Amino acid sequence: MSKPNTGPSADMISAYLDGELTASEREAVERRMAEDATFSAAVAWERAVRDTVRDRSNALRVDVPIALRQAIAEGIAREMAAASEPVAERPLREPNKTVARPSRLLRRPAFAIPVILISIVAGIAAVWSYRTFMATPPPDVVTSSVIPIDLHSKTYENWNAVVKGQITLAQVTSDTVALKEFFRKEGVQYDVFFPEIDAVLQGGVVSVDNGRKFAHLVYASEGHLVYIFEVDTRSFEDKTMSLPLAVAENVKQSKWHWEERDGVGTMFVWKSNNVVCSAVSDLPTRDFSALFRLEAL
Amino acid sequence: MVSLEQRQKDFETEAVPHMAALYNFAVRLTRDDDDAADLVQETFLKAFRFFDSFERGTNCKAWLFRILKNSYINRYRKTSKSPDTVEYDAVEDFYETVRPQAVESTSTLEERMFDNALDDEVSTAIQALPEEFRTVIILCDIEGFTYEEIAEFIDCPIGTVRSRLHRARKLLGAALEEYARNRGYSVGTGSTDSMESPSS
Repeated sequence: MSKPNTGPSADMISAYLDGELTASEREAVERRMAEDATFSAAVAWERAVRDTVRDRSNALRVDVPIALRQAIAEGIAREMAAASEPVAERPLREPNKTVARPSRLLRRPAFAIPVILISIVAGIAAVWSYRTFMATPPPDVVTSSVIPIDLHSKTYENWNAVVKGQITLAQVTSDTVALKEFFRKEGVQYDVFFPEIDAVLQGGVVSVDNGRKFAHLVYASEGHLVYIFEVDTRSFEDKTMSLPLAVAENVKQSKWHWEERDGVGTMFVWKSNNVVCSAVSDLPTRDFSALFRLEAL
Repeated sequence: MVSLEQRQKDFETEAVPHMAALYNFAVRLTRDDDDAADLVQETFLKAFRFFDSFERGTNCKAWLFRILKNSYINRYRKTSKSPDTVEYDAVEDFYETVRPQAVESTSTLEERMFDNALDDEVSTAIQALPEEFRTVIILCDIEGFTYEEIAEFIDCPIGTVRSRLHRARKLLGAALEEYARNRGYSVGTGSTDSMESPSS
């Protein structure tokens, strides 16, 4: 004959097992366990379930994706940069903006349909452009000058020329090794920097300025272009190149310089080792910055 | 106010070590790796921004989980991806369905049966729990939170934590028994169904 259901409820079993009962409650549970075999079996059963999970707590864990760690590190770096930059130069960004993941965005019809249309148009344009690239001899991007060339304004100027098709790629490839070799053969005397960027490398071209050769890169990302003008730091020291004071100061202190221009897009200037990179894209700052693995710059 | 550099240093020391716990919880909460990553990223950026308001020396892990919970509510409760919730009666019905018999049991049998449960089975069984039960199981048995911390996290009295954990474990155990049956175990277990309501 079973005993009446007196004393502690079954709801207290978990708390008993987890050491979360008061002394009097615990005594009550143990008393009932001694008197009621069914209750005692229920405690044993729940203990087995609990231990099963706890024993496997390590095995049940999954590793934090490296991309997430990077995204958080980049987000914090952006927060730090935003807090330390002068207000006028602070990039327009949403700190909570998550790093773009095409796989996720493409699940959304509102995003996927325009992207597909843009991709089709971009694909046609790319085919046409590549034909042009192959037919056009590699031009000098900028003309020689006896005064320092302003990298800042020249980057914007070249960007406009790239967009209008007035500057074409001398080497069309996404292979960085091949492109490095191309730049070396063309006489670029520094190690060209290839940023880790969520975009496809289209190729490069070499310019001659004040007798010095410089590398230029073009990337494409979902219908948007990214153009990068790379200059070695020696060229600033010997006055072949120059930068506006505010930009130069940021670069000198290894800070990132972001600026956004209406109707143009965003410029991003940074220094990696002994190379100053000046990049422009038609993307807004938040999307442009999301393309880069900033901590690797 | 501490310098930016010091704040970053403190953050790396106190908050970043809990990233794995938050991510694991987020994965089980959202059941989607990308959503979990977004949630954790948002949590950490918010935490960094408001790290000055975190009282040093207090429970940073609990603080981060609170931020994650609020972000989760803001992010998902407003959308069609609203998490599932179940009524207690529904859980009881489910429990009755999967555990129709109340028979005597031995703890050794259960322990042996559960010991043989595969990690994947345990993981799947936890994932299959309704959110409110999944949450307490993860916080208590995987993350090691106290009942008081869990109560604060789910905004419920400690009594609710007790009963919810009990029901969560019942559901989980029932699912594990089902897996055991499928693997050829003959399951005979005890039941607490007849003891749900105390008479005193």
